[in-house]
Amino acid sequence: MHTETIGHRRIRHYGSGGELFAIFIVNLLLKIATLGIYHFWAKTRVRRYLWTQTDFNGERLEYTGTGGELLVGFLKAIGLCILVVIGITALNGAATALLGPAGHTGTIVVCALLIAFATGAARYASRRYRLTRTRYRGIRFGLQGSAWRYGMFAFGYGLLVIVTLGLATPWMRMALDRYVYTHQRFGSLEFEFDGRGGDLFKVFALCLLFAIPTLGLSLIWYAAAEARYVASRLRLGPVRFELTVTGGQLLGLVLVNLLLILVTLGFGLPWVAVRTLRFFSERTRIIGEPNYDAVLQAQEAAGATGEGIADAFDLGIA
Amino acid sequence: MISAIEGWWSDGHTASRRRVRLARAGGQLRLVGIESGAEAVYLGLADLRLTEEVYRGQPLRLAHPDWPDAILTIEDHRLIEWLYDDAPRLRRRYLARHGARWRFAVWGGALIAVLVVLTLAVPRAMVLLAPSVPAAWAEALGEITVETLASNRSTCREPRAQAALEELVARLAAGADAPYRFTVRVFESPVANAVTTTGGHIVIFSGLLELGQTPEELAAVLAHEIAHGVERHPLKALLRDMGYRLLVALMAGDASVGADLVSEAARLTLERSHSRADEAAADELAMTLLHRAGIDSRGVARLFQRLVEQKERTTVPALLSTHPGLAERIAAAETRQRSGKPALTSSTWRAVRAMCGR
Repeated sequence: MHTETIGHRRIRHYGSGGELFAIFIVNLLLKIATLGIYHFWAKTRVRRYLWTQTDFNGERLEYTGTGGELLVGFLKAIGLCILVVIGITALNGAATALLGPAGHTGTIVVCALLIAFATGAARYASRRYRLTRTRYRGIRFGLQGSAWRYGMFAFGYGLLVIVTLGLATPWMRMALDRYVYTHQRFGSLEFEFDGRGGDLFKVFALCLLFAIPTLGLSLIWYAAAEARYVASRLRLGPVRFELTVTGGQLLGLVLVNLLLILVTLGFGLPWVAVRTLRFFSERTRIIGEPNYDAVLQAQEAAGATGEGIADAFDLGIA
Repeated sequence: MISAIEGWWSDGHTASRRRVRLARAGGQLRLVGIESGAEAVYLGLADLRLTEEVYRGQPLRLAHPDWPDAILTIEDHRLIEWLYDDAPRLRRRYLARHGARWRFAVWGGALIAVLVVLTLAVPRAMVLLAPSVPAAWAEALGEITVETLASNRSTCREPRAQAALEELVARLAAGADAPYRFTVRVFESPVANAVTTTGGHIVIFSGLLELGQTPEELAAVLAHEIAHGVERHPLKALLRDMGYRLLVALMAGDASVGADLVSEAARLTLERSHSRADEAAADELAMTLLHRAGIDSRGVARLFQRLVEQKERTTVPALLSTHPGLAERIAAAETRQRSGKPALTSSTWRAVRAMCGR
């Protein structure tokens, strides 16, 4: 199989801070005028803009989600939460009556476990929602796998990281990425990922060692190294990816973004969003090209309930 | 006539795309492949829509309900003009034409107007709820507030002085038709101040007993606090504040720090103007209550005068030490004040002044 590096940049972000700012302001006003209900349509509007302004190889992404879907997902999530709260209250009552204080403690443990699972699961389901609403050349992306399984993984590895005082972090990160990417698809074409935590351990340990003297800034170098590694281990059929971001560049991005937010009292957020996307697209190369004729549309349905849960708990997913 | 608009067609079945030439055929758009001899595709103009908002310099992308995942990409913006009359839905998301800025400004203006109306209306609407809040709730809430104030201060409970204060409050409150019974408590504190909570609980900070030199000045304070209670100002302020917070919470939905700050500043400014109006109303009613109880009302202006003097002694001179608010209130009190009975006998007044053991 031949791989070729085409001279011109093949991924570009065309967003403009000014245009996005206009969207933000209109969204803000509409949200106030509708007592907040416009939130879901506002989110959709911003995504449609950011997706549309992202260009791969001369064709832009398309976002097909709707505000109505997000609202329904949110309402379902709220309903689910109410049921869970009722269930937990009943469990607590029964457990306390049967076992006394130990029963109450048990209920709290069950709650904590449930929240830990649900957070990871909601994040996965929310990613699935966004991918199934993303089209490129008319073909939808997709994410298979089970959100609950991912939630369990996230929880289990979280425990492992705590037990190993953080040293297992690269293994956790790669295991979770592996679960996500090996279930991710572009139409009938599947992503492949073979990253291993062990490959990242040396750089992680080094950055961790310097975390105290550098006040944690060295972890930004780890983030850059991890992002480069993940890109290098990701495949989409014959397509390979390459990210050239360095720790210094990433630190510069984060610092300037923080400064922009502070100086503008938060109104600079649209410019921050656009320059961040531009930063990463300028540093990403896509090598090789799939046989587009052989990429078929795949059917996969996905509700917005996971997204709703993520939204209800404000998990901060843009 | 515009000639030869071309575009890319992806049919939604595979990720391939082919170059097509566009032509009009009746109420339909006909796409003919340039390279391959594939069959022409027909799209009804009436249902043709843009897949997203289009800004200047951005390609047009068209979708049609008969082809669920298909997408037609066209660089040439003349397409809009070409199909303008027959494809009405194409205009909806097209923001690249001239005058788009004007439309934006008009919509923005209208939305800002709605926002201003809401900012003014929501807190006022909340205040309208005050009469329907049960007196028992207001009293319970007020008790909690008093207990909170009491938690880090000692209460002065000399029985004779307490009885004299309660009697004075009852005399003053008799002149108004209050929704609840007023109570009074004195807390040890150097601050010369008094507050009323919801439900008619009056709290006096002992610094005030040292500031006032005559029982009429104390009566002036009590009358003012009772007036606040009668007018339900504490409850209204609470409801107004909830209204502002509701608005702030809505704005904070965008997690924009700036929006938070702006709305908080607006809230404080508006709240201040409201509280000034409440003070004026309470002064007015306080004077009436003093007169109905037959008490000498010259204590009001005297007490305000003492506050002015105290502030001039303790704070930085110049700008900060001028009190236009107090000056107006003194002038208003002096026009209505008249002589009358003393508020307390000299022995009870001595007992009240000494009730915190100083």
